[in-house]
Amino acid sequence: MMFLTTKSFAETLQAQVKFKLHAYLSMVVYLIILQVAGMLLFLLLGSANMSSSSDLVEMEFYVFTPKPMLILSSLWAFYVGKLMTRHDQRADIMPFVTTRTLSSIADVVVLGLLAIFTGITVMLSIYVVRIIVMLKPNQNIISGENMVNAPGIFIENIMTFIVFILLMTAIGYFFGMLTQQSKLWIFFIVAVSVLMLCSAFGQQVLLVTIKLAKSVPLPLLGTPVIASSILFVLATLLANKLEVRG
Amino acid sequence: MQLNSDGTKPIYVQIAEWLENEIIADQLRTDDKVYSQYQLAELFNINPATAGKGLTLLLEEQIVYKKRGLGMFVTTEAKQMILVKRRNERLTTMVQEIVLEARRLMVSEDELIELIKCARSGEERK
Amino acid sequence: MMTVIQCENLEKKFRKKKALQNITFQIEGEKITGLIGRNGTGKTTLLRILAGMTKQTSGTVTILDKTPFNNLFVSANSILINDQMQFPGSFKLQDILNFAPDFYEKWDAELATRLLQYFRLSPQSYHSDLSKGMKNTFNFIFGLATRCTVTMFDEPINGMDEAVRKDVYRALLKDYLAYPRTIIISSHFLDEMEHLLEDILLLDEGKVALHKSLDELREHAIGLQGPADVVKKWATGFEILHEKQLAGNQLYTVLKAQDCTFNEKQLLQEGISFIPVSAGDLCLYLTNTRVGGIDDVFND
Repeated sequence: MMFLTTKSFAETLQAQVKFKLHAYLSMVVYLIILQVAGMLLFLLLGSANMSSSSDLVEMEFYVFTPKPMLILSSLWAFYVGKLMTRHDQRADIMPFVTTRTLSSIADVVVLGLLAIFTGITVMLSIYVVRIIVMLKPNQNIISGENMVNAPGIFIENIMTFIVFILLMTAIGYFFGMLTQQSKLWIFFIVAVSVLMLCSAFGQQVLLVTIKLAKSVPLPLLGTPVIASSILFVLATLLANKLEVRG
Repeated sequence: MQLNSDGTKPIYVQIAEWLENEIIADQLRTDDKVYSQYQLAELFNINPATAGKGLTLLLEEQIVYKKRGLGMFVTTEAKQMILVKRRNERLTTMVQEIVLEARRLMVSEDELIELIKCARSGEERK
Repeated sequence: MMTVIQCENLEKKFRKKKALQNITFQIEGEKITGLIGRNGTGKTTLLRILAGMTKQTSGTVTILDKTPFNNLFVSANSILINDQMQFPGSFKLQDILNFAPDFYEKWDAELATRLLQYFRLSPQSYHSDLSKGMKNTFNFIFGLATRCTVTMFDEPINGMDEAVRKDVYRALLKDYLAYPRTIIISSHFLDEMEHLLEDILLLDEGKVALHKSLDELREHAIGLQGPADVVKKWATGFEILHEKQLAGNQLYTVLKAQDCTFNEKQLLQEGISFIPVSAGDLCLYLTNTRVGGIDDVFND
């Protein structure tokens, strides 16, 4: 008699998440390289631009913006998000037990975990920069809060980073799924964005959208979380119809 | 034994013939257990269904009998039956072929009989 | 016997072109079936539908009573091995083997390791670095070790050298004998694996040309060879599957054996001999678009 296996959804999901995390481990290496690059960029460019001197006192100002790290990390996040959809489409998830929905959910879980990791490392790299700056002679940190004297703000910052990165992966994932449907979507999206930015009407629409988003009575992080969720759900729905190409 | 898969003879027939040869050569005697279809499949590198068909052929000809859950066994009359069958079928067709070939080569009947006699006595001398 | 695979009026279109049409067949029990057909007749498409990678345009398909597309149960109990199979680039062969048991309950780790060793595949090499033949050997090992109830191989021996091909087929047979399951192997070349098969599913231009056991296939046709005029005389009224002009005004004709009851003795006397038709040749003849062969292209 035939012996058939029945795998539960949860069991398979767990296996898929583990599998995908392992598969995207190499991506984390790229992230770390990017973040180190971000730090170097900050230290080199940052110090050159911000120094000012008068006759009596020589001062150097470092403005601690996490921008370089965050921009590089979010580019990475977008890329990873998009990369996952490419894999979804190709044969390489098929050797292992899955369905499209299950695979998408596993993707979202993995992207979420990667976003958390990225958010934390962005924060940490900022602290690394701070420490390096402090180690230089004649330096004082003016900008204040850190995890010891203001843990609330620290956590809030981390959360902001995480949510922001998650949103970037979601955009990448959704964009990727669209392009899996048809490459024409790339042109369409680029064309629409250019039109939006150039035409007065488009700008109006954008402004109203931003206003609306701001007026929604939600905590600060609510909007990007909801936006990410919507993008993920849409992407999953798209993925459900996709066939594996030969 | 090497199986011939060029289509001259179905593989299951070749399996049946191989088993018959084993019986003629007394490798398998009366009431001995015959190889199972899985053993034959493994032995000859063939699909077990094909091997099974070879066994069925022998079963139909009552060269083997089945014991439920135990397998197939050689019947008492097996060897005798095979010999008779071979004589009837195989020898006849072979002789037919020889006669045909002889005609093509313009070998007369007497010459053919002489040839056969020679072959027989040569065989005996060995 | 349980029906494992069932297709009814399956059709698949790519844009306007029909890749498969009117596909109706069922596979019961734990058999090895050869999916035979020339290149581009839809073997791969059919297997991809069975494996749930692609959706049919119309018709129904069930594997173990479920529709395969997006079905977890089918995914857990079936696998399709082909040479487009990919694994994450960062995975060593050993990583792939390590993950497999998380997905396939019946995974035989020892078998996989032993076969890897036997075929000299280093567990430390990357899947994407393997040569075509080695990649296919690994994929084959992977497919075998999953022990899936429905195991499908799409042209598994592509790129393998002859010695490996023989070993691979032998490994398949031995594992099948120990763990019977439903296996489909596709190939455009029947001869090498004929001995393994129980049934043949022959595709021709997206349709099922024939679905029979190999033994039945042998009785499907007969070949006659002899002086052209005599052969032609005997062949009239029968369906001619293949005809070939030979040297010395000899003709070789393959007839569909349906209710052919020739008097063998008489034929022999008229100088016609029976030439057995091998299953591989017969499949070729049955999927030829027309009677004749390449020679006819050069004939005016």
